[in-house]
Amino acid sequence: MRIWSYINTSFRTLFLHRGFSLLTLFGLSVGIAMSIFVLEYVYYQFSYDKHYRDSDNIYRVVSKGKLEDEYVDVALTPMVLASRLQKYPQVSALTRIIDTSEKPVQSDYAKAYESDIIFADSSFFSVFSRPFLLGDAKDFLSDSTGIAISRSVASRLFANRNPIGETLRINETDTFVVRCVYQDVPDNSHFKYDIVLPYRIVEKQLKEHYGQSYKEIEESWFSLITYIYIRTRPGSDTDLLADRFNSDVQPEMEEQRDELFDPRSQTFLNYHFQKLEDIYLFSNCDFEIGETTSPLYVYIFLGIAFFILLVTAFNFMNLTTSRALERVREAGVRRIFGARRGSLVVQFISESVLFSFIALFLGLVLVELLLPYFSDLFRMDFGDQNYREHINMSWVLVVTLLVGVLSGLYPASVFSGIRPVHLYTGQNRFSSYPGIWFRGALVLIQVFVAVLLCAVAIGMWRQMDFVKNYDLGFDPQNLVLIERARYLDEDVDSVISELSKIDGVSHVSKMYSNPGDPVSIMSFNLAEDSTRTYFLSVFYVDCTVFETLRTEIKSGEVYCNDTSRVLINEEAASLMNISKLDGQKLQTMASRGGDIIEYPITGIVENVYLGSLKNILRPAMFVPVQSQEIPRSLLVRYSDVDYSSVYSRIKKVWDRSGTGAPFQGGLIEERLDNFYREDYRYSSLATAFAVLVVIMASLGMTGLVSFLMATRRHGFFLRKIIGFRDFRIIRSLFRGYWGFVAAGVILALPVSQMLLNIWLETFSVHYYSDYLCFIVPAVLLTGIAAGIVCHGVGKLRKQMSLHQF
Amino acid sequence: MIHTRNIQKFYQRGEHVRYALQNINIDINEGEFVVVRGPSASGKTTLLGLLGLVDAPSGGEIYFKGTEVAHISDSERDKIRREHIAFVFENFHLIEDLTISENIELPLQYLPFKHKQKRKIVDDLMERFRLTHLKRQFPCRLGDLTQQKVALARACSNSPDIIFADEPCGRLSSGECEEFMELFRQINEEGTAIVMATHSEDNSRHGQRIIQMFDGHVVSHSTEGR
Repeated sequence: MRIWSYINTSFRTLFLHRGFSLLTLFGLSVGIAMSIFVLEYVYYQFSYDKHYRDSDNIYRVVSKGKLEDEYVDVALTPMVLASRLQKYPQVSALTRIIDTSEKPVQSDYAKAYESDIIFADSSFFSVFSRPFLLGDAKDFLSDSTGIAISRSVASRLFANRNPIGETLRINETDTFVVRCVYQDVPDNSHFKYDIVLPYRIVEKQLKEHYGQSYKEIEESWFSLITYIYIRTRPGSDTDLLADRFNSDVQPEMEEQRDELFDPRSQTFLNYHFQKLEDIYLFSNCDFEIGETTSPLYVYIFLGIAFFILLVTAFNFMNLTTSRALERVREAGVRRIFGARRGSLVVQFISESVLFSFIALFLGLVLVELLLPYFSDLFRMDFGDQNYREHINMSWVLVVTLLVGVLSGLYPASVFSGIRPVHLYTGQNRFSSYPGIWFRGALVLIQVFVAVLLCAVAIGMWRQMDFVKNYDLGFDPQNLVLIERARYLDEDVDSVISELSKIDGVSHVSKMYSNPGDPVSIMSFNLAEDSTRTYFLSVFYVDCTVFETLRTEIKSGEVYCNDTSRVLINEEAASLMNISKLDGQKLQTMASRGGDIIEYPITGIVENVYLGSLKNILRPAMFVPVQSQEIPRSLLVRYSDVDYSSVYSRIKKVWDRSGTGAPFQGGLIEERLDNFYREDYRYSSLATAFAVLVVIMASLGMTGLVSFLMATRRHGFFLRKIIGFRDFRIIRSLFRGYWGFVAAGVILALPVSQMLLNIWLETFSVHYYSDYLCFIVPAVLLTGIAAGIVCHGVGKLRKQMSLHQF
Repeated sequence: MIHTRNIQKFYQRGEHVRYALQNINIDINEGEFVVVRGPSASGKTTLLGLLGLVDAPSGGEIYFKGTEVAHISDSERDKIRREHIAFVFENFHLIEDLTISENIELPLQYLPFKHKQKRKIVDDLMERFRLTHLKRQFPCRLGDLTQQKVALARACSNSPDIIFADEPCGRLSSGECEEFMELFRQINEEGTAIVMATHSEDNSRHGQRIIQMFDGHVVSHSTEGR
């Protein structure tokens, strides 16, 4: 029954000291709400691909090694690997996958542009289990026309009709029959697929494209073109399997290597098995099939969640003990009337546990209210039912209980330690310094975290600003990219002509790859030195594109419609030691008796970053494409007119073209920003957390100042009566306080610099951190600390009376 | 009920030793009303603290109902206080966050009473001290005399054998003090021993026996009171 009495008293305390309770509950509930968001986000990040049946037995084969001077770590593998690996008894199922770009897909009832299309072997669903809504996995890909589609695609293209046996036309020309419909792939999957097409279609296309050379590609251990996923039998040792496989195929690989590469080179490739569950967070491979992220962010946010909970608990301790004198008296009276120490401990802990559960309730209300904002910030639909299923309430309750116990532990141990004689003789132990050391340490940690997060947040925004203003080798302003140009077919030139007539449009060029798209890398020799191989990114370009981009051709010129004469960037020129154009030629590497093709270098263009600044600038080759080639997109430069009017007129031209495909286009600058959306997101998150922790730290400092005011008020009044100036009083009364604030600030500076540098290293170019991002939070926190002290002293001055003595 | 033999209490700071009490030999009998009188710093409060088992002496012996209690553990002291002893203070020491009835009930929380029993004891005490109408009030809204009455009701709630009162009239006017002392006297007449510390000669007259203190010594015993 006594526990009810404690709860009753706790509620009473809550209502009687409304201001204090609001302050405490605010800190606790915001802390709990933020922690729920962060921890659920972290949990979600770790849940990727775990929805597949026996997901721990699914692996992806990746290629690691060195090709000439180039280290490779790619998610792609050679096609030949599949047939060899399938023979091993540890492998129960294997599928090859190739992803493809957006395509128009048409049923008898509707048309849509689908982007999540893959080609896969018939064993695909043996590796990746999906619940089938209609049809069966065994029906899938029973011939080269059978395909599987997701529930969403079925709904888009067939509405409520049964799609089984219905035909789908992809790319207008290829006709397939729907064999099965599977449940949509959840968002927490490292790659998505709405339509699965037979892999043999790819094989057929490759055969058509490469002709007689196809056999070479199919048997090559160095043509990395397909993704391979396997399901192993339970209990298989994949490390052992990888070792065995690599040693088994080594003779065959060495034979090919000696034919293809310079014998003196260190070329080698090994194949590794990467756990499916680890791909999203831990894969560092190039040429990923889908989206991946860095575990660094997840760990940082896990750390932040831990700190927020810690700071929240510290705050509660600090604010609770700031009412020390009142609570000391209460504890003393209880002790005088025979209360055991244990019962006081239970009382204070139950009080803080009650507080944290009320805070949890308020925190959950906050979570609901802040859902749209945080969904936006975390780029996750927290309101989605799938996500909500992940929230484990019992786990949340345990964390809340822990916060409550942790928060109540210190006040409980201090207050229950009051001896009856202290009340009786009017002593109180809070006038001594040991208490302040602990409380001060709590404030120190809060100030430390606040300065750290503020400095990191400011540093991140400065880097984002640096990225935005970085010289990319072209002028990204007033450039519009019109996608889906391939659907224009032969109308492309008339559309370009129409676009050129729009007021303000100065240039229109064809683009054969969009900024940020994966670029193929090919190996070349210089004709005069065939011993050295160079791996160059190959861009196919319209000869007018440099003018449209405003990229300077440093030397030489571009020859339109001549695919044999190429340009290189300054990086490639530097790599190949070409300072002056003097008839140098690039040539493809001859292999197995194939023809050598030569490309005279006719120009050197300035380094142009068409992708993310997270990737290093690669040596590149630009191949002018013949004008009749269908482009992937169109690039429009305008000037002296506003974007909205240009946009609407461009859209009108597109709509008049009669392509049928919906218009898709926008500013290049927006596309560039999109490369850094993760970084913008984390910068926003760091800012949100920084603001939160600054609020928390302010509450913590308020608690410490209240405590100091309560315990040292007599000292203040005495000094005022003697005639001390406020400044001297503040200095002497809050001596310890300044030390803790300063220590928190000073300790945070090197740590924040270190963390910031780790993040900056993820960019190929970054600003050099200066003092601004460290000075601002230091001044901010010190200013807040001073403000709180001044406010406290003002309050004390109002209470001054001789009756206090 | 309480006997002390040569008790002393001193505080040591470095080499400096300050004696608060020296060679105190006193007896408190059951149902007695004893006044401990003396000027400031004469050792009254320290003596009450030792007799009330709030503090332990630096030397000497204290017997409570025949048992030596000077050197027992804190928890044993807590138990004796819980069951046999109560206090009234100059500053009332009511808990601000508890209502009047909850303040009175406080000592019972640490005793094995059932809820109904506790309610009955509290209701009876409130009726007796005419506090029933203030049942749900908080201490800060009450006058000094009423607060001290609540403190006295709280002291009576565990039916103690002895109440220690340290300057109970310290914050009361003379008229209020008279009224309060009348309550004290009634409680004493019902058999509860009272030991009251005061520096007031006027208040001393309520006691059956006066122990006069000065500079930590008992300088006289007299029966000049009632």
